[in-house]
Amino acid sequence: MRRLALTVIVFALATGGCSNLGLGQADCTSPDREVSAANILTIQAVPTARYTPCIRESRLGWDTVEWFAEDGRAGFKISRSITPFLTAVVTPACDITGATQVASGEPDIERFEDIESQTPEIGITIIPSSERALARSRVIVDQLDETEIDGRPVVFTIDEDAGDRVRARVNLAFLFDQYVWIMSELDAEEGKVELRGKNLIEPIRGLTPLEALDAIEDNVPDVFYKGKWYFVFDGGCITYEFNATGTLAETIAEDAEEVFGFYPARFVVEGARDEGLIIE
Amino acid sequence: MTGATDDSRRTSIARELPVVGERREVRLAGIRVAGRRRRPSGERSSLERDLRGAGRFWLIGGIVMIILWISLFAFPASADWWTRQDTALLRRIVEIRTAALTSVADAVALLGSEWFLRVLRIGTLLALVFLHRWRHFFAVILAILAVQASVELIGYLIGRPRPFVPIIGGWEGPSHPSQPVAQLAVTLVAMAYTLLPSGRRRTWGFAAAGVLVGALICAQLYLGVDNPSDALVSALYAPAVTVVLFRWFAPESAFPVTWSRGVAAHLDVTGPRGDSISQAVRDQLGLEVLSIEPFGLEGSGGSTPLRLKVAGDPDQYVFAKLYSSTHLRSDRWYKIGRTILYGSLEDEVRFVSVRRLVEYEDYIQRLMNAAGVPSAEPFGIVELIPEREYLMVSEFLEGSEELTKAEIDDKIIDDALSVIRTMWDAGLAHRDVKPANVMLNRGRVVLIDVAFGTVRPSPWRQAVDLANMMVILALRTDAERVYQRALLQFAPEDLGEAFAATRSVTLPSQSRSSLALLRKEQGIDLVEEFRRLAPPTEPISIQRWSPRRLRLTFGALIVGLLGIGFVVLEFLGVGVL
Repeated sequence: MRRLALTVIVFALATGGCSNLGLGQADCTSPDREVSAANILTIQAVPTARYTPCIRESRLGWDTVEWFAEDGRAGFKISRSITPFLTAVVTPACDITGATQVASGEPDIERFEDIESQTPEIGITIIPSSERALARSRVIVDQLDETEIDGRPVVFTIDEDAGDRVRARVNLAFLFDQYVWIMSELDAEEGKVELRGKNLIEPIRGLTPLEALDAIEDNVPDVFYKGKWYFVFDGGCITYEFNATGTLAETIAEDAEEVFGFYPARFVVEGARDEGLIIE
Repeated sequence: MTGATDDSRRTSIARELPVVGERREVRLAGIRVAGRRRRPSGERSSLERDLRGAGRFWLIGGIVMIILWISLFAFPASADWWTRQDTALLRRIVEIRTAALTSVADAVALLGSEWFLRVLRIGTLLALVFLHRWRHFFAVILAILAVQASVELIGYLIGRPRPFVPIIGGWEGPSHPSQPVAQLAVTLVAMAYTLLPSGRRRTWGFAAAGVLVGALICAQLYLGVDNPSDALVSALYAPAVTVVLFRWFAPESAFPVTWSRGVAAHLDVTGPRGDSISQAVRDQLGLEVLSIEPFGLEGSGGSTPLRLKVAGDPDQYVFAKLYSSTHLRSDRWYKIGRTILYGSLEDEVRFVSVRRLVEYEDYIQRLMNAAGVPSAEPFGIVELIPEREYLMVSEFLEGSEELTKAEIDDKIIDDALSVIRTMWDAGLAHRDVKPANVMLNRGRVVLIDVAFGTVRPSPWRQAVDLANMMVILALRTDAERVYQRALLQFAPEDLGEAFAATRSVTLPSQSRSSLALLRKEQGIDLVEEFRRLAPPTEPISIQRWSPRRLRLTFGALIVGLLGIGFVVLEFLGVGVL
């Protein structure tokens, strides 16, 4: 009996290659509309959707870790080093409350974004409290031009609007995720600044510019790219949900534009019919 | 038990047994020995059985499933044929859809829903916890995990689309094999295996499971979420995996299901096994078995002890211990547990087979006898299933009683201590000196259950044997008296060492509970009294660290944490059940 079972298994494995097994990939570029089971299951999950999410080209280190489909939604997750950072899902509709519309580049698709991100750039706003401090600030900016922290560029802005109160100017800078260097008359004389930041517990006074940069290096938040892109079209919506940090976050938006595409659902139906998968 | 045969009789049985041939019939010590029969080459042992009933059914089911799989996915032509058949059948079903039927199908499909399965599974596991059926508890989890993981993996490897008909029910993942059908089938079969006693009740349970799974299949097909071949494969696959797992991990013969609370780890000796024991004892020892009954089960966890009535003039009893792979596994777990808790105090190497286990016990028993340690006379080993099941037959000490239940005088104290002295002199240790193993038989102290005995034990172990015997004796007398008698055979330093080595863990649980009772009722701490009487001796450490202990402890911690994680995930609703 064991021999029989073994023979059957070996035979099955040996002949397994004769058939189209496996889910395959949601590939945008199938020239001859060769469809995969993943494609078919996706349109079965959301039969109304005109498009399904697909992958135009691969990226080094990006792995499709989990493909899923159930009635009402289907998609896949992309990971790097085991950790998923992007989920693509097609649904009959999606809630775009709070998202901002942007150009989609496709005539029949609307695009919305609801993204929170920390760019690689580290912004520092210098708030001088006197003319002397303003002059000193300009010198500092000239001296520290093209400075980087952990490979991330530092961009200085001098707030010359002396009419507002300092607190209001600081809060405005915080709104744009900027660090703030406040330079008083005395600071200008001593060549020092007071450092403030959203993620700093309290202001740090009496720092030289280089010391202030060191302090920022210890507190600078990681780069991240989190949120959603929505592509809304007739009968459905594709949502890309991002959760990327570090170096991945620096390029993910650009990469995602190139990697992901839209595969017309009718191509899947036609391809499946051509392959005899859909029985008329 | 009362005193059995005298020494000369026991010896005569042992001497005469080997020479009794097939055609002879003699009487030895009143026991009729009818002659032995050698099992010819090729003949099966008496307990090995062909697959019967359910086993054969699931074997055929498994073969059908494999053929179905090959034809479904190995060849494009046959795959296409199946798709056409599946679709044709589903289309006919679609034609009969009505609002009322759809409502019914929606309701029936709930049988495969996550919450319904969770209720069944968690309910079953709670019942098993209540009944202390841990083996079945883990078997259920194992079966569910195995089916769930394999079905999911197969589903993604094959990647079969859903049926090409209008789908009006909920679904998830690839179509083949059907997840809900597999999940319901494994759950119901596991429930029948663990909650229903073997026989008519379980048969009805399987039938009910079949009806429910059949109903779910009908609903799935009606709703258009599964192809008929998807559902059929799942209905065969999940029960087949469950049956195989249960037969391997929790076989009925070793873990019978009863509706009473408590551990039922002892083997059932009625039915085919009882017949097999009678035949094997007749064939291999030449003894005619008249009856078999469990004996002293409560005192034995490592084997199934039996009392066999054998034909004689008059009929007499012999004692037998049944060992199977279940007991071998218990022995292994016991040793792993000891190693984790205390380190390798002594030889904790596991036995590799049941044969080795019984050979070792038989050897130790014969060694004890040869060394003059009073113990039961071994009559031999009987093979029931080669390598898997053996019976050790020995003299039945009829009329014996536990030493702690007998009247004890100085002579008996001396006799008991001389047993330890004899073992010390012969380089042996019993390693399980507890009240249940020290018997008084016709006025003489006899040691039984020598399975844990060892040759050339560590001095620590010899000291512990002595301490344990002194504790037993003092339970019926007093520490001072036992200590004074012990000085006649042992040096004061020996006695000091014995109680310096004594810890809670070195005392058998039976002795521990008797000591605790004495302390509670009379305020007497016997061990402390002995320590006070003996010369002061530094406590002897019993903790031994080794790489193996560290590995096992680490492994146990990981398993424990995984178990906790499993429970937490289940409570959070994201577990596998």
